[in-house]
Amino acid sequence: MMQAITIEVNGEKYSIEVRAKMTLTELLRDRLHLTGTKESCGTGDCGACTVIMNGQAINSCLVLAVEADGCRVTTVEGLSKGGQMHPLQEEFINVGAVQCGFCTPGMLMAAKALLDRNSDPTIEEIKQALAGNLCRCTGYVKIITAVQSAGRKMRGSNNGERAGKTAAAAG
Amino acid sequence: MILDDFTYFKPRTMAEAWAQLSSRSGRIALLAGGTDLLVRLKQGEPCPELLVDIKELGLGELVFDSANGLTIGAAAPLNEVCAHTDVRLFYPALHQAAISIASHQIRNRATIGGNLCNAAPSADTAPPLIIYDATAVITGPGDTQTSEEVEKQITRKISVENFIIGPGRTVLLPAEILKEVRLPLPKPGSGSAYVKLSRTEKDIAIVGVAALVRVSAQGVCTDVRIALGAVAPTPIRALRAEELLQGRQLDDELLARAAATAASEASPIDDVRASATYRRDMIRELTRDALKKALLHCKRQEREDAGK
Amino acid sequence: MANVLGKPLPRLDSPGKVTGETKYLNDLTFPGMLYGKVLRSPHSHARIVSINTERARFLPGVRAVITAADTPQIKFSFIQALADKYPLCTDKVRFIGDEVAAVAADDLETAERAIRLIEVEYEPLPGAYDPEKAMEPGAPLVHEESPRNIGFELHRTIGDVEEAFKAADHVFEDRYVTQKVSHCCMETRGTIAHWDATGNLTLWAPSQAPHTVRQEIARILNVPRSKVRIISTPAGGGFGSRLVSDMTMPVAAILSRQTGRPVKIVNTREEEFSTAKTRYSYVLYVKTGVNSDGRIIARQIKIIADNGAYNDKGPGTLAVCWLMAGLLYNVPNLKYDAFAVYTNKQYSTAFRGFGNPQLIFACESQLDAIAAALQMDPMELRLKNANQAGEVAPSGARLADCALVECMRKAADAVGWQEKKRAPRHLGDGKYRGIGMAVMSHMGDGGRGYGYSSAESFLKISEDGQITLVSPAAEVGQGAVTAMAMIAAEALGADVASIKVVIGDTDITSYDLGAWGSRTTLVCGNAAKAAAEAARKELVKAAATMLGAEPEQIEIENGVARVAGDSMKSATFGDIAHFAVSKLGVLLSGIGRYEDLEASTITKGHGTTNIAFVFACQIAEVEVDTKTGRVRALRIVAAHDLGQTINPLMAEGQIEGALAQGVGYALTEEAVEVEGRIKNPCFLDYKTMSAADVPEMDVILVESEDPRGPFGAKGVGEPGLVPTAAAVNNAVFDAIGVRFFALPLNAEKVYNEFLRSQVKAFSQKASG
Repeated sequence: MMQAITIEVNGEKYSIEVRAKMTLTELLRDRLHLTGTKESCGTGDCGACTVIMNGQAINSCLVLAVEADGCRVTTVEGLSKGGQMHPLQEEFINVGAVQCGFCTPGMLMAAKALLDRNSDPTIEEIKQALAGNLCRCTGYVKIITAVQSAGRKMRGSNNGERAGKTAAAAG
Repeated sequence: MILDDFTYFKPRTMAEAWAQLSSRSGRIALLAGGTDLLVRLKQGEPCPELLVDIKELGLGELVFDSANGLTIGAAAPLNEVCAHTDVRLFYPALHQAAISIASHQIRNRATIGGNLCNAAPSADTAPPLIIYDATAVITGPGDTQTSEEVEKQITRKISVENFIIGPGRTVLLPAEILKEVRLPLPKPGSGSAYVKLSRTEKDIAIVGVAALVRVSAQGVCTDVRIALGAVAPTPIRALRAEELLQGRQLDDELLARAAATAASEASPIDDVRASATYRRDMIRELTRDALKKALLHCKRQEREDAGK
Repeated sequence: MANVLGKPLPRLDSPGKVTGETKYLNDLTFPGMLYGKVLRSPHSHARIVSINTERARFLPGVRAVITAADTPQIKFSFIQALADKYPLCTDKVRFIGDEVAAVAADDLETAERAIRLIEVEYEPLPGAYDPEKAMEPGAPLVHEESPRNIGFELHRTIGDVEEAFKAADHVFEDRYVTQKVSHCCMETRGTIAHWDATGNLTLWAPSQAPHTVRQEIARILNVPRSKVRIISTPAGGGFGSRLVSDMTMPVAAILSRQTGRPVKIVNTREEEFSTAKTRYSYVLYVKTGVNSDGRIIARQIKIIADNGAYNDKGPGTLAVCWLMAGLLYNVPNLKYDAFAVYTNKQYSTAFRGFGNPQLIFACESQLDAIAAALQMDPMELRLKNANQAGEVAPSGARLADCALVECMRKAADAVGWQEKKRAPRHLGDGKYRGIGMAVMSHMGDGGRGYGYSSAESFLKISEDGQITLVSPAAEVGQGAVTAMAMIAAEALGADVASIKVVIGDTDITSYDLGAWGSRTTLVCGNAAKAAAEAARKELVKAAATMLGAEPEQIEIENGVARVAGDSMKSATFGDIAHFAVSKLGVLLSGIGRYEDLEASTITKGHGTTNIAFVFACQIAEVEVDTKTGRVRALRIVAAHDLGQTINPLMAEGQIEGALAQGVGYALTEEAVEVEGRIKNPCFLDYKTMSAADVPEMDVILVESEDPRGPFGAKGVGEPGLVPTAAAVNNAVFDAIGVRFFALPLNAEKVYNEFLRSQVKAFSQKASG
């Protein structure tokens, strides 16, 4: 059965007709041509399809497109803003956390969801947050390092912003 | 991929839900988190004709008060259960079970209701709910067809212990919806724990044991519950093990005997994850461990209460 | 002074991967593209009685349905002489997953429905599942032409083991078994084939070896190689699984030829686990003769490798095991007998380490037992037998350098070996800690077993300073592209960020054997270096003219050429290139080759098959919970010799990833098979390491200079997991006094064996 849905993806609104059985992964990849999100297992076990929906990291392979009606979704394509990469993307590059890269989009979105809710996670908290994202290449070591250093960067720039505001208020 | 298509419906009120559920004769499935259902559909299970999404029926709340205990809406995501401070404080076994399930992504969608209705023998939340004497509250539309009477829901209650009746089967009748589970406040001085054996850190339970104990000032057991998961067609109470401990002084030897008794009450199977023999041995280990942890929790509560 | 080598530079391909821009195979669509699905055998061994495709053909949206009759019916194997598989089965299916028919349809859903409409009548046959039993008389024959189900065998002898065993003070004899494991690349296998109207076939696939795959495809499709073009898409992991052509490639090609349209076939994860190729599982019989002083004087190894239903890289892995058996320690008497035995199971292929992880598990576990029996420290025993630089191993292998001893010492220091060996094992409450060591040797250059080990690169400098390097290196995710760029940058004096590497198109790149055997750095790296050096000559000549100096006076650094002693006279590469084109009428480019002219003359199986070797020592710390049997790897220290580090981030990353695979191999991974059926075809039940499971990892890069590698570098892709299982096994013994002879050491196994050992110890005490 075809159903009309409205969905916001990476800040863009889409009105689309979908079949009820279509998954969110299929909607993103096949209809919206946002192929950054990957499908590696389709059964919610590997996390490669992770996107952020209404602020939460979810496996898009186990969400129906119709369930995402009225929702805000962010994919890896929505991480950088105006040509400026997100600190997570920068740190993944700098620290060597990307090898084959297939798990990377899902890993980045799970990591972003973590840093958005906890800007100073411990190594244990990072491991728990990323335990649902399988990687076969890196052994996770540099991924964890990258998340830590991205968190530091994000906290640092927040401090900078606050300092700027204070200065403006004072001045 | 899911091969066959279906109709998807998201009711905003129970009345809307009943209207669909009562009028259809074909297969209907209820959708909460989808983390079990969608996997089953992708793996070839026959598709329903109608999928009813229950996430907008107001079933997503967790309500706790120190008089009545905890009510968890069937559509409350597991991560909300995990994050709830009162759950962690008063129902630690449930907290430990919920946090052990799958991954953060799954827990953002998967629900307590879904875990129970999927009715896998290894459902992690079932043993803790059983030891807390949780009740499943089920709503149904009743026999009438008129729209006014459709508003009048029939509610029935059944213990979570009796809610699951076989692998993948519950007591739910066609058109019934699991509304919520209610957990009474554990009696003061009781302690509880959930212990799970798995192959890696994030895994399905090979064996799961939830235990609750309450001991008097003299160290006599006044209350005990032991529930086992993944070792029988459904999650079960280890009643004979409980009887062994009830009213007795809990020492190491008695706990070991109770654990052995619990193991004999289960009927584990051989599967790709473990053999029945190993599972039986592990029930013994985990039951003893769960009882010890529950006792520790008891003692911590005592110290905290004493300190107040 | 190194310009870029040894620096932790970010990889050139990372930006595309972190933004989602990089397009993997399944991200590609072409106009008119169809979706293909393969119908696979549900039986492990059966005769095909009939196939009826009528209902499938008439399903709306189906554009082609093919069976064996639509194919040239030329048998395939990686080594032509061992060819035994048709792309689509003719009279028999030999494993669950064997390809029987295929469809191409307008969309994936229609293709899925179509294969369900193909009616195949099978006559099930008894199957062979245990490779040792499959060799016995009366066992069902997987291939009628192969008596005793032997697909391939290798026998080698050096010295006289019988005499040596008689002379030895002690003889140890053990049987080991390693399990079937899946590669679990995050990207499943797949291809897009387009056989166009001009008769040219292009195949897109994440291939590790596009040139050899092209050869294979051309042969079984019975077309000239020149008509076949392979374009490698960025691979989502490889680990050996993408070296040899998958049958979906010729199948997709034929579907494309029939329909005139591009056809995409991608495996589901379930297909990957249930039907796709795995690592060879081995039964190893290892007999070792040692003297009381610890010198190993004889070794006899018999390997029964489970080939599965068809030949693939079996011969190669057995050959590598022969080489490694004689390489790690200086053993003067060696006997080696190895068999690749057919069974009715998913067949096997290359997987990181290529037989060596299996061999090292057995030999290094046994060595530990020998150390215990001789009451020697395991490290001392290894040091006593280690080869030294400059030695020639009994097989003829020349060790130009040998960092084994240094690896051992560095690993031992890092972990605090002596101290840890003295620490208490029992922590209380049934938990024990232990520490174990294993070492390994591996090739660092791929090998010359195919008679060819050469490569060619082309490098050009354009007027905007952009440098293009055309390289035959295969990027599997391991960082080949960046490694080639760094080597070229080092040789040229350029800035790495200005280099664009073009790879993966058989129409453009030189013939190269692919990414395996950790050969890319040495072989392709040497070619990149040579091309950069050739281009540098031209650059220097043009710069000299431009700056009014002699070529000898020109110095180059970071993309700028200057006259020595005169900092005013300098020009960027871009300026010089522009000058060369506009004023001299000259292009700045260079072609460079690495040619191993000896390769075609060496005897297969002789030690000189390889020219560069790498060594490593790994030490594992584990905790065993004997109440459940669960083993946790707490920490692995890995000291790896890699010649010269090109990029430490990449080298560490390779080893860290391999360690995670190695711990999985040791403790939790197994494709559980019963009568040919995989019982755990999903990540839920095939347990790889997650971020929550991996141990602490300490990677130590040991540098020496191998004269054969570019700037002394050699390969590091595989060694990371070769000794891990043995190190873990030895650590478990150290913890609980129980030795294991079969992988993986899963909880149930460890629990049962520990109990058994306690019962035995108790009854010994009681009777004693």
